[in-house]
Amino acid sequence: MGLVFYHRNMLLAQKLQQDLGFLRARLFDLREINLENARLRGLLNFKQKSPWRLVAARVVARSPDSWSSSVILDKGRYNGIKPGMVVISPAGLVGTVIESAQDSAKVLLVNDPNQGVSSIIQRSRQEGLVSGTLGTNLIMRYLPDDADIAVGDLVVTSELSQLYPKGILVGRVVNLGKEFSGLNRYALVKPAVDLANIEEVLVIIP
Amino acid sequence: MKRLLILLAIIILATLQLNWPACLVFFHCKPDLLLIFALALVFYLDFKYALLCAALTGLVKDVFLPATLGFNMVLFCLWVYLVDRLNRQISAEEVYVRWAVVLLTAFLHNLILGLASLAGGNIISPVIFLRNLLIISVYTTLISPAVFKLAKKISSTF
Repeated sequence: MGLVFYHRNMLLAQKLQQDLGFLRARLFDLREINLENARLRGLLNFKQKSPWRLVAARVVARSPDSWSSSVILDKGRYNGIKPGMVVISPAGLVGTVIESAQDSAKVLLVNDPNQGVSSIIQRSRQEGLVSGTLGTNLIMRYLPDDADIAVGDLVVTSELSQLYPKGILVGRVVNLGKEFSGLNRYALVKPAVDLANIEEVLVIIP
Repeated sequence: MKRLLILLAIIILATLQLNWPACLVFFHCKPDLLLIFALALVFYLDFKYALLCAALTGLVKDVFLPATLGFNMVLFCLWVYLVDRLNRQISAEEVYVRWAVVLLTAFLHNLILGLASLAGGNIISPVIFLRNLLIISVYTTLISPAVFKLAKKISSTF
């Protein structure tokens, strides 16, 4: 008699194990969907409040090597995305579109060394040029020796830039130094956006 | 059929390289799967076919890069040519020899890419330059046995 119950219980335990595995997978999926939902809700809120016309796009691929920093978006010319357009996220500046196909676009991220963004320190209005270093931080160069700049200052895009709208957050100053020539100073800027893990972005349509 | 398999392998490796899992990215570096595949084909296919595949592999990589189109294509073909010459001079049957070939090629490839970037006026700190040069080369070498196995499997099919 005990053997019959043992067998039945064993089968039941196996079935429950299978159900547990299935439910764990479902829970993982739902958590992922929940996180995506929160991100998209944030993007939508930002889009509704923003003064610009924006197109939301998803990052589908990243740069195949480590000598450049770029991403591929899942939207292109069909959605009005053209080269030269600025890419942002609710946290700040992401980069610029450099190529666009019918359904995809290539974006040069702000931490690519080829990228140059005319920026200012928000507090003191000190101007400089922010470019990428391929590392975690950006570098703000051409700062005069007596520039009013301190660690923790916010860096935003300048109105001098023809490409970028004024006032987009680029990052925060984390370190200061003197250039090799000794004539200028530079500032290391931590990007406002986590560029290594970016998943959804907004393209500004002028 | 072999052509189709090679094409499929290039697409899969390119997709993997473009979407390399974040947990496997060490110090912002990821391996160059397409370079390994181009090199691996030298050992398993005849030279002309391997050269053609290298050009295609390099082109696929170039398409997704913001840099000048054709740079990787030319370099891949050059590496395939040089490795083929080397393969005729020495016996590259040993696994360690192949590892050394991949390491040397990856090192030279990254050195040229880095120097080209510097020549283009970009400012790259020596630490990041060395990080990219050494970590990518070693990481590429460590991943190479898996890609070599794939290339061998494809070459032995049909």
